[in-house]
Amino acid sequence: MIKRLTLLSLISSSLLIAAQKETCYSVQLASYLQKNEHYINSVAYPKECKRFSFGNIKAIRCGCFETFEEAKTEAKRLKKKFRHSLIVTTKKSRFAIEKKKELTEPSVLTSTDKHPFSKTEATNAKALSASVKKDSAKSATGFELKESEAFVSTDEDAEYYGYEDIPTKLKIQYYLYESEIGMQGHVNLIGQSYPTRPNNKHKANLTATADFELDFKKDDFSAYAKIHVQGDSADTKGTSEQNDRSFVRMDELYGTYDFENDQIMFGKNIRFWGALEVRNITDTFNNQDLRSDPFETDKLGAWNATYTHYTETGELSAIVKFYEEDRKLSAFPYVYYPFGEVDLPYNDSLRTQESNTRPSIYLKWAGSTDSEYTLDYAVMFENGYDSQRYYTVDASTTVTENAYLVNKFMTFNTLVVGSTLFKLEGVYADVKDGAVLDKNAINLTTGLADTKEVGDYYHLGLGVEHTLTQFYGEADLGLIAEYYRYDTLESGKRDDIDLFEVFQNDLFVGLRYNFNEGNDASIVTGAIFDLEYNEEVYYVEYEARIADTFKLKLDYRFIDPSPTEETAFARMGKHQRISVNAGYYF
Amino acid sequence: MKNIIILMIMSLSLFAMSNQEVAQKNDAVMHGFKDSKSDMTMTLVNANGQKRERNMKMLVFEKEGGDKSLMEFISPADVKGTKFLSYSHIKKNDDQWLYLPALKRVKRIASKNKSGAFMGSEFSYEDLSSFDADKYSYSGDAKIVTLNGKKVYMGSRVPVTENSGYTKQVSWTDTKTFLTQKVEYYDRTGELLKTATFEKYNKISGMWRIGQMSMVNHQNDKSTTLEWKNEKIQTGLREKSFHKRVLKK
Repeated sequence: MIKRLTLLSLISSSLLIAAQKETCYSVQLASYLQKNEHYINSVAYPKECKRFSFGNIKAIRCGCFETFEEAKTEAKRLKKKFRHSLIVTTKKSRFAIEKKKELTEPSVLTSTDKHPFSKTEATNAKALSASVKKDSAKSATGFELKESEAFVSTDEDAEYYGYEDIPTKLKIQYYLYESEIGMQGHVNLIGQSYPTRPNNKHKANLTATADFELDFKKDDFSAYAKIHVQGDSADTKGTSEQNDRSFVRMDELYGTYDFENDQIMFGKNIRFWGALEVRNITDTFNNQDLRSDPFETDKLGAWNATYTHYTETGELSAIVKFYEEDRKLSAFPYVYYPFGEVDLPYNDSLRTQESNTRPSIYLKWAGSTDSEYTLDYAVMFENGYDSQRYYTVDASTTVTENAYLVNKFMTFNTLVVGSTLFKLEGVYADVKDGAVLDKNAINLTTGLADTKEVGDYYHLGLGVEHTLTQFYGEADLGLIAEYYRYDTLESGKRDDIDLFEVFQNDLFVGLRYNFNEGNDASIVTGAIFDLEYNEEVYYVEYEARIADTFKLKLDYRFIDPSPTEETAFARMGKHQRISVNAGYYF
Repeated sequence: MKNIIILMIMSLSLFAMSNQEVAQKNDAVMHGFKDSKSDMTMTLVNANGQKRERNMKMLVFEKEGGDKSLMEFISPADVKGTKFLSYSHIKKNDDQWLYLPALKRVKRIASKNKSGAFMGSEFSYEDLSSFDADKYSYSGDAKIVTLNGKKVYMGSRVPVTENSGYTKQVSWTDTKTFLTQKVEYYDRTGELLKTATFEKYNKISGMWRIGQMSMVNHQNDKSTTLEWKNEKIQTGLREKSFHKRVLKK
């Protein structure tokens, strides 16, 4: 028995060794798709390296080492000139065949020939590429000895010459090829009809939107740009019908650089902070564009610089927002014009407590716990302009947006317990005194002076989301409930109604039904009940993909505002909406 | 004499093995790749034969106690840039996050129930998690049968977690390579629900890696095929490559 086991071990070991012997470690300098062969032609590499073709890939590899350590030493040496070098495993036979071919096919260049990229001889990359192609044509498929030999310098001093002498144009092409550049976007056509609406407001809207995104990645640097274009058919009509909803907007334009445990970012960008589904009260970095559908997320980018340090389970960010942007507003005939049924002129220059270039500073600490019940948490502090704004009207009935300063503490959290998510968002704002920005403001209804301060306030949101997997066939059903509470902490100052705060004492209940089919179809339905002002909102949305590139979204909404209070919904007016949104994605 | 000894040794490997041993060997064969980068194509076929294709990039980091993976959607265009980060655990629920690029939002996902369909496919989350012998209980010896002309071990196993969508799985494992060839999945009522076939195994850097996995649902006549392309292993990915920060990159 012992003999048998010994024999078995011996044979197993031999087989293992044999298998190991089939491969070796090599240092790969570069690899390209066959179609980009011209890039590989621009790389001059040491003579001990070889070019290989595998399917549609071409690669330059150096050495065939028995141990990883040997390959590592070689990689370290080569990285000085070829910083993208990496260690790969390869079949020894590839190098063996190469050697065999070397014997049968003489080199194109002799030892006395000049290196094509040598510093002593002017180089014409195009001519070189052409000569290589010519040589290549003579070669059989498979290993291309002649091409590789054509770039092997026999001059030791010129061994690593090459890249410096490549024409700038080719270097740029090479740089771009090594980078990842992506483009995507979508075009949407949105038709909205309002069977119930306030007097004199539009009974329908036809809006076209387009988003174009461009991203660039090269090693640790990345850049991103996004442009949003919107056009409303009403803006092509007569002056009184125009609703000022057509524009071109640069939403994002920023660059980031990643270090081992840190990242710096500069530019205009959009962030998301929050955990809840219906209203994210901590999502305060970017303001909503007031020309867009208020039931869709459409944020304005903010110019800022950010430093983030990453720990094993979290991140610490310091953000400086450089200035507060002016916001434009949709004009009166639009159904979501927020100042009732009167067309008031709007001054789109934001009025600020200090200069609008006074920076807002944010500190954010976020992470995840690794306990039985996992918690994703984030705590933030802001010193700067509040995302909550108020509007004043002057004697000429012109409306102006006002921004005041705060010290703000925020947190958003998600706790996972089984199939249930428990969510909390909270805000406490300590408003800086002197937030009366227009001493001549008047109240339109009473005609009296409107010079109330903004008081400190808190805003809380609690939510629970439970998913019933395979509720019906493969479909999942999500049950969502959220409660919001907002209150000002100082009497005699502006309250939630003055500040247009909708979610001040509101309960939301909703269902999300995912069909879990190939077209990602889903139905979301919900109801929001204002427990204080007797307001109700009902909606149902259906979304599905069609033929992989089109997306269809249908929704119905009904808003029944407070009959007694001048809330934001009451100013907007009671209405029903039916919406069809067809999108083409590319 | 030499031939007889070799024959005896070869036949030794075909001696009766317990289902647990087969599973452990299968586990051992498929582990040790350290990390992996690949392109994935998921083809969904409905009962009428209509096909839909999704393309993804997949990164996996092998870790004791549960792998970490990051999946980025390349197509369809409306979900391009959507990322799914998962930390799988053997003894507790997986940690999962979804990044929605249109909203710049990282959304936490509750992952207790592993039987839910993965992105509308016939694969559930548990079908796609890496095979770990400890996730099942076993009894008895595996039978040696023939499957597509190959000698294979056939045996059953029962998922340990109560959150599994299956009451039983029957697997067919190659007697030579210990690579899974086929698995049948039985639903909570004990009925045959799905059959997975494992094909196009490739040996990459000395490790066996699956090239194609097809899942047929016998109860709704739909099927899904997952194909891995351009896979590389031991690429030098580190655990840091699976930090939540990668979702927003």
